[in-house]
Order: sequence, then structure tokens, then C-alpha cells
Amino acid sequence: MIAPRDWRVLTALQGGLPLVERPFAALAAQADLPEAEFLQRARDLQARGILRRLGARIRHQEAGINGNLLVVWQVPAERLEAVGARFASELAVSHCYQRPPFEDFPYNLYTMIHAREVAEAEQIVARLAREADLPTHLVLRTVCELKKTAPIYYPPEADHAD
Amino acid sequence: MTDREARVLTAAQQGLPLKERPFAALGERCGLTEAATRETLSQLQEQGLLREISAFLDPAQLGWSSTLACVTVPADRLEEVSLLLAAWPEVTHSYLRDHPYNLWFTVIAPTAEACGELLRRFTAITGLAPVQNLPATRVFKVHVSFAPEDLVS
Repeated sequence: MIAPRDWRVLTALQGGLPLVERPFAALAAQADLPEAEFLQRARDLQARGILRRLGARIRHQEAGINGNLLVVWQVPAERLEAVGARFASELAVSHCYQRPPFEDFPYNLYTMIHAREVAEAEQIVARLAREADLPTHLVLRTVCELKKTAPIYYPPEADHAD
Repeated sequence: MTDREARVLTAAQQGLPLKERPFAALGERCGLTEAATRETLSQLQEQGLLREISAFLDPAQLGWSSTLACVTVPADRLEEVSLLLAAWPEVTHSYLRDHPYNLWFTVIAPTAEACGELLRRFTAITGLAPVQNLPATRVFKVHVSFAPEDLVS
């Protein structure tokens, strides 16, 4: 259960840190909490795993990371655990999920692979396929990005009252 | 990107400490003063490399649901469909990909039912079907951060 005061902290932190000396004082004012309480609640939320981290959101292309590939793999059920853990340990792999296969689409493991250039990302895919002995995979190249925003989490209606 | 910018951006992606002066702590990790760290971040923001420094929450810990969906959209309807997805806050990412299922998007909402409802609404409005609903059944990794050598050009 997340207390209404904790939600005020989460809402403020989702809005982004101003680049000032004491950004949490500014966010605490938005949340109508003292800075010390705001920080303590944020630390507790991090300890509970609700707040993963407070970090930079970047624009990959502008940052010179042009090779961003979604690669889907067909992995036998008994190997899924080992292959998933193996792919997750790769620096170039940012996301690795098991998802259900569907009609004419037998792939059950999804990875996002990033490198400076597409060719480099493709080499990583080839190496992973070889090392994991997974010939059945598919590279889904990005034609264009239509939307990229941070999710907005909000409290349940009943929590609005404090 | 300069070496200094790359170091700051890498450290900022790894995360800021929840301390009164987080930019001073970030600067220590990069060998920079607090003022130089903030200045570098604001330059990165002006250049458009840095969108913002904000909270990454764990949807599962919040009890929220997310899913990935894909659907086939005819080329002459892409603009209309793209505008529709742009207007829905539950849709956080959408991409065109070179596959018969050419539109892929992620949905995040308080419940799995709400995710499914959004996909049904998508079909009701656009007439496009089937929309494949592909929620993660196991998460092995979720993290995006890049090493300094990847960021220096």
C-alpha cells in the first residue's frame, strides 16, 4: 500500500528534477512537504523497490546510439531461464522479457539491443545467436519512432484525500 | 559529445543519490564540482541529448500492468493511427518496424483489464485487428544506460 503522502513524492519525482543546488527542496515544495520528509519518503520508496532510481532519460539518437534493434528469439521452454539470464548479462541488451508467442510468430523471448551503429548491433545479434545456439530469431528493425514518453503513474481515486 | 559530457550523462543515467545536494554527489563521481556538473547537465538538455532527470518506478511494485502490442496498419492510415496513440498517455512508446506487424506499442495502466480495454478501444476506433496483446510473463532485465565510450563521438 502506498500512502497518499508517498504518492505526492512519486508525483513530484516523475515531473523531473530542476537543475538547481537543492532540487528536492523545490520538489518538496510542490508536494507540500518539508524537504527532509520528502527525501526520507523517497529513500523508503527506493528501499521498497517502488522507486527504481532517479536518473537521466536520454534521447538515444542524439546521443549517438543509432543501432537500436528489437530482436525476438524462439527459445525452447527448458532453456528459457538460462538463455534469459545469459542475454540479460550482456551490456548491449537493455531489456529482456519472456512474452507469449502467437499465430505464425513462434518467438517467446524479446530483447532490445543497442550499439552506436546498426551494423555493430547486428554483429552482437549474430554473436548471441551463435553463443546461445538459437538460429530461430528475427530482427525487427525500427523504421521510425512515433512516440517515446515516460509513463505517468497516479494514485487510485480513493487515495486523493489525505 | 565531449568527454566531460559523456561522463556526466553516464553517471546521471546510473542514478542520482537521494541527498540534499545530489548534483554535488554526482559531480564527485565524475571528478567535477557541483556547479560544473549542473552546467554540463543543462548544456546536455539544451542540445537535446538529455530529456530530463526523473523517477523510474517499478510498475509491478505499484501493482500496475503493462503490455506490448502489435498490429498491421496500412501505410495510408499510419498518420491517423499515430495521432491516436500520441493522444493516449497509457501508450508510452510506439515504433514502426519492418515486419507485416508494422506497428508496435507499449501500454501501461493500473490493471491488466485496463490494458486490454485500451487495445479493444484501439480496434473499435480504427477497425484494425487483430491486435496482439503480449504482456511480459517474465522480466530478465530492464535497464538502459550506456558506457562513456558509447557516448563520445
